[in-house]
Parts: sequence; structure tokens; C-alpha cells
Amino acid sequence: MVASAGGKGKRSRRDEEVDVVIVGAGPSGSVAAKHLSAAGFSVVTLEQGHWPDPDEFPGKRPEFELVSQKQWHPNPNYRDRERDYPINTDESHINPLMFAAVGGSTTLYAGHWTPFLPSDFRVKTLDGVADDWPFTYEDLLPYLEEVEREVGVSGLPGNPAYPPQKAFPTPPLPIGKCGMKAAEGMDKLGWHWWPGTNAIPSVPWNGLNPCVRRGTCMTGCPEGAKSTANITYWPHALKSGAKIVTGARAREIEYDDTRGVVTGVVYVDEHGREHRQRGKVVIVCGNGIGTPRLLLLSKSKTFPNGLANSSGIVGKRLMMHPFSAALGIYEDPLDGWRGPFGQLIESFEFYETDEKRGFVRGAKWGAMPGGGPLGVTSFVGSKIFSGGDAKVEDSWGKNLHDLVERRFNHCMVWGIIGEDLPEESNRVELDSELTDTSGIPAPKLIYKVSENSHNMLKFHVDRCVEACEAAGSIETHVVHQVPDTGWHLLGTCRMGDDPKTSALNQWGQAHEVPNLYILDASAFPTCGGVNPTATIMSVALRQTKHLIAARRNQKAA
Amino acid sequence: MTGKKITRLSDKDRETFAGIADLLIPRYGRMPSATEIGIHKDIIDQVLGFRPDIGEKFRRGLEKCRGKDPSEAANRLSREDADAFDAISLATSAGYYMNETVRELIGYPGQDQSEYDPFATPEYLTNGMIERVVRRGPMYKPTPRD
Repeated sequence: MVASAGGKGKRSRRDEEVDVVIVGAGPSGSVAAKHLSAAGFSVVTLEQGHWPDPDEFPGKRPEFELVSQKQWHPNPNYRDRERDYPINTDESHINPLMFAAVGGSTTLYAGHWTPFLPSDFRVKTLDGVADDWPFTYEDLLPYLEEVEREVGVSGLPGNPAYPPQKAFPTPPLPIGKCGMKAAEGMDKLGWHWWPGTNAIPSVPWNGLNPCVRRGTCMTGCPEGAKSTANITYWPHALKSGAKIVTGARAREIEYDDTRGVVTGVVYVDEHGREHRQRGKVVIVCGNGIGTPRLLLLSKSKTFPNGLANSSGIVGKRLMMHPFSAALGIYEDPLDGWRGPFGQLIESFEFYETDEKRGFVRGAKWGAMPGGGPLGVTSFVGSKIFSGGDAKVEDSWGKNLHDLVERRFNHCMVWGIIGEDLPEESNRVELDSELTDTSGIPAPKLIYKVSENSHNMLKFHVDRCVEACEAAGSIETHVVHQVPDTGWHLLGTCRMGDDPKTSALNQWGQAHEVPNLYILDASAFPTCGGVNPTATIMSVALRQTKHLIAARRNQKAA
Repeated sequence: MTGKKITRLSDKDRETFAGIADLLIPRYGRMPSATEIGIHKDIIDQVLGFRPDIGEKFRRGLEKCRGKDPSEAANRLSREDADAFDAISLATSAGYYMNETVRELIGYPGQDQSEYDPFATPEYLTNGMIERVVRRGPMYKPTPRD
């Protein structure tokens, strides 16, 4: 299906060469499509998923919790929709999570808006590990501020965890009883906390409705109140003439060995037919797994090991933010099902390195509600549905009633996002047997949680339990290194100054292919200890504006 | 609930399921048992309609439990075929907590919407909590100068 300003069914000429072909309509690809088309570029975006239909989101229906464990599960291997591609995770400690649609995985994200901090761009200089970024926090700040207006971020200005910046476009969302309970503990301990900053507006903004606190952000927002690119970016892009082809699975980026440029993208439609979209410039925004997969699939005489991969770095240094959580139970009712299911409050108390802790770098905490009755019995801190040596009656029967009575409406969860240092052994490869429904080889992950991450999460979990107890918890539970938490897929085509150790320069342009760009989180040299969408979109905007400004010098197909 | 109905369970299946469902969720205090809300009737059909992926495991589990003492059968199933036990227990708990009577008893209105004034002054701005955070000063490490 091709969409343009003329309507979602209008077809374009498939053989025409456009200025820019973008692969992927997630947050970064959508930023590029909007701004390039506004600057007069002809743009075609190939998206393997479809336009999300808010009426399909289950949040308003009684079966919400039941279907969120399958049809709306964030793990594509478990969800198993036709548009998902399978991922071999046999050798991975963490399962990657993603969603194929216009808007990408933000369809199911929680909307935590936590830009990287200044130290995140200077990890090597400050802590002697990993690598510095080729630009700084200050370089990126103007783009962050512009993106925040487009996204409709809600939040309270003045957070001392960050340098001063422009105010957020919409007021903070209510933190509710649950957020206030979390804040009470932090206040008692004298630890940093701040009302949650979220990509969820509190007032109407740029096509978004205000949040109604339904609390179903992670299965799609039925209100259209969570910022996703299909709402905030694509209407503008289509108006400027950009086109999007949905149901289009990119199979290969074609490379002209003679001229040393890429010439377009081969993709497979839903009927298995192959097409070729030619473009003067190709931008890949397929996430930290999809992007290296496509490059590794794109072999040529010049690049027998994958496009722009003479360094061998493509697919390596995968980072996924191992995740742990602590759950506190309280006497007081907390409206524990009430949203936003973004973050109610956040904390950066233990974000920066303190070597006495036995690890480098740190983590951000986000306080979230405990969820509905199924959520409080199976999400965090409990494995009541497991077998083992326990008797069924230990977890069910009267004990289930007691558990729900004690936890439902009385739960607060601190989630911990810890910095995952890049290691070349953590990587994406092509699987030798597994394919998607179009017959394209699927990715395989090899990923181990590092000792630094393990020690970091252990330290933070212990502090979270202290914070729960300071807030008066009557019971606490911990889940350490949860497998189904690979929301953030980063680092597999890193930026850097040296073509021997990096795939891209500081503008996201491939060192070896002048008209190939990667604008998603694959480009990140390090991953910070925060949810990355704010930084992904800001970096995409920075790179896109550079491409626009340097258009006269751009070598093209 | 408006789940798509799939192949209906037999009366024997329902009888077996009823026994296990009441073991998992018995009457307790003010809370009704699973069968008192009709879990083994229309509710289970609707649940299996919402989650067709668990239907085969659910039926397999019932087959293994048929004619046996519910506690003995459920414990054996949990040990020997955890997937089938998980399917039965998930269907039971999900159907139970989707029921309006049960929701009312535990004080859960479902994922409803909640009105608020986005321009109202939050309590943390007036009770000194945020002020104490701000007073402790900036906590980020600035970008090092070259």
C-alpha cells in the first residue's frame, strides 16, 4: 500500500528514482521523512508493517490484560504476527522487543522521555571505558528541544539531573497516588526524584489528544494520546509530498561497485512480489537489529561481508539495556492500574560513576504502577504460575485471593534501566536456517549480560528496595535481569572517526559509501542508562538537517 | 465480553474444568468461586476465543485431568505438563478477573479514563518536596572541557 498526500491508496511510479529512500518508519525514519520532504526532497519510505489502527488496541476492552500477553506482547517471537520477523535468541540472555508499523516500536513503548546526559557522550574521557561520541550533549541540545516540541513532551522544567534547557511544551502529567508514594520514599532518603517526563502530552498537541490516564500505553494508546510518529510526523510528511509504502520488507540495498554508491532498495511486498525503489540517497532506520540485518544481507563484490562493512563492525557491539525491577506493596490504595504507564516519577540519584560501587556508569529509575489484577499476580515479583516443587495450592486457592487482596491497587514498581557497555562479542548475525515469511534470512543474536551490568543492576535493585521500604512498604519483591526486556536495540553500526573501528561518521554517513546513511540507534557508540527514544529522534534530526544543509556536496547515485 | 467463540467444549470438559477452576479459585470471604461466576460456561468460551493459541494446551490438560481428583490432577499436571497447566490456570484467572462482579468486589473499574486538570498545581510543588530536590543543586557531570 502506498500513501501520499493524495490519499492512502494512491500509487506512485515504482520505477522512478527519488532523492531519498528511507527504510523503516519508526521514530528516526519518520523524523527524516518529515524534515527531508519539508526541505523539498522527494522521499519514499519503505515500512514492513502497516498503519496502526487505534480501534484494534485492546486498552478499552475487558480482555486487555489477557491479550496483552499474546497478540500485543512486545516480543515478536511470542506475538508471531505475519509482519513480524523471527529472531533466533537461543544464544541471547535478553529477548529483543519491537513492533513493525508506521511509528515502529513506539506503538508499544511506554513513552519515557529521558534524553542522554552530558556524561553519556564522554564515557571514555570520564570513566576510561567504551568510547566517546563524535559530538556532545551541547551539540545535540538544539535538536532535542526542537524534537520535544514536535513530540509534545509533558514534564516539569528545572530537573537538576539535567543542564538547563527550554521548558517542555505541555505540563507534567499527574503522578497520582502511586508516584507520590514512590516520591515519599525518595524524599525521606534525600535522594533525587522528579515528576516523570513522558512523550505523552497532557493537553492537545500536534494531532495528539491529551492523556486520560487509561494506563494501557504498552499495548497502543486507544486515545491517540501517546506520541507516535504516525500521528506527530507522518501527517506533515505526507502533506509535504513524502510517500510511504507499507507491507514492504527490504531485502537488499543495491550497490554499484563501479561508481561506489548505493542505487536503491529491493523489497518484497505482502504478496511475495519483488520491487526495486531507486534513490539517490538511502537512509536505513530499521533499529539495532533490523539495520545490521539489512546491511549483512546486502553483499556485493566490494562488500562481500555486508554493505559498508570492511571494518567488520556491522552487527557488533549490540547493547540492550538489561533490566531489573523492585516492587513495593503498601497499605494505602494507590490506584495501581491508573496511568500513565509511562513513568510517574524518575530518579537519577545513582546515574553517574562511583567506583566504590564495583562497576562503572549507572542507571535511571522510573516508577510505574503495578497494573491490573492479572498484572500484579504475574508481572513482577511473583512467579505464582510456575510449577517446580511447590504445590498448586501454595500459589492458588485462598492464597491467590490473599495475594490479589494484598497487591492489587497497592503496588508500585521501580524499573531500572542500566547502561550496557558495548562489547564486540554481543552481536547480530544472519541465521543460517531461520527466515521470515518472505524467505529473507532472519537475524540471530549472540548476547551475554556483562559482569558490569550484573553488578550494576544488583546494586540498584538493593537501593530500590531501600526506597520502597523508606516509603513504608509492607512487602517488597525483586526481579533481576528480566529476559523479555530488550526494548532498546543499539550500537550495531557505530559512529566514529576511524573507519577501521566504526561504520559511520558523525553525521550517520557510511565511511565507505557516501550516499548511505544510518539514522537509528544502531549508530550509537554507547547506550547511556536511560530509555533512548529522545536521543534517537534528536540524533536523527541533527543528521537530517546536516544532510539537507550539505545537499549540494552530496555524492549521489 | 465479545470474544470470538471457537469449537465449544463438551459437557465432560466443562465438568473437569469446573473442578480444577474451583481448586484454583475457590469461594473465599466475600469472593465467589470460579464456578459461581460461571467460569465453566460462557466465560471460558470467550476466553479461549480471545486466546486461540492456548486452546490446544487447555484441552490437552483437561484430557489428562478427566475423572481424577482436581487437586491430585492439577498438581500432577503442573509437574508433568506445565504448558497445559499454565493454559488452564491463565484461562481461569483471566476469565475470573474479567468478570464484572469480581471486578466490583476488588475495586477494579477496568482501565478506565480519569479526568484531571493539567494546569492544577501539584501537591509536590506546595509541600516542599520538589524544593528539597532543587535545593540540593545540579547533580549531572558536565561535559569535560578539552
